[in-house]
Amino acid sequence: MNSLNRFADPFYCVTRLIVGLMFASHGAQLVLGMFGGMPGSDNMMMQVGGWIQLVGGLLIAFGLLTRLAAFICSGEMAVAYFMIHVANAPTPMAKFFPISSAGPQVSNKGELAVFYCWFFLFVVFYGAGRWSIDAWIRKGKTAAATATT
Amino acid sequence: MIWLNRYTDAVYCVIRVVVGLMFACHGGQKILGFPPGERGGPTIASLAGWIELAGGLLIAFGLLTRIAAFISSGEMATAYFMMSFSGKVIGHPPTAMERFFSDS
Repeated sequence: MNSLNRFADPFYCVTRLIVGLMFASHGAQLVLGMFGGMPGSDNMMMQVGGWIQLVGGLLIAFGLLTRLAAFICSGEMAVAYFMIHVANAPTPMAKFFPISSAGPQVSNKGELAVFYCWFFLFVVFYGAGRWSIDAWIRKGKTAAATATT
Repeated sequence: MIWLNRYTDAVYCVIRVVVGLMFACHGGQKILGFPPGERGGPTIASLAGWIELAGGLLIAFGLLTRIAAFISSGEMATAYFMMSFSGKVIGHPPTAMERFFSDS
């Protein structure tokens, strides 16, 4: 099955695009009021979080400053999970299980926050991949460096 | 920043465990009733539940990982277009795909 590994990097780039755009949609919902807006998003903390999601999500999607943007987004999702999802969970079981389809007594519904947090941590370590603005800039720089030498 | 790449595989393995276990929890809900939540439902829901439970655990512990991930990925694509994409809510009239997979 090692033949599949050849396509891992292009496929990673597609995944990064999709997840980044989905993440940016949450930011657009919070700060721009798109998709019907979100109730309770008019306080300072949610607005800051929303801008991180919107800008960071777009940077990750298109692969510009990818590792830095992913590090900040990953940290933001960790904060969101523990400060909002776990802190508001009423029962010990709900503090542990993040499963989004279960009831509020059982789950803190932070599954997306957990997923985004870990996925963006992976992006921090993996880097931007070949289909990204970062790779495009790097290619331009190496071409310029070889041209001058 | 290339030095971060040394830890890529280690981080990937941790993520695989976390995401696999969360995925298996959705199957556990449908099949075992643990964690408590949505239980039962039509045949296709319990089929999905078995894929989620078995596939999630296989992915989490990295056994037959690629084949388990392929099947789980396909199941999630089906779930997206059957449920979320069709805007399904309780009492929603059956979509074309639901009529196709109807088991009543």
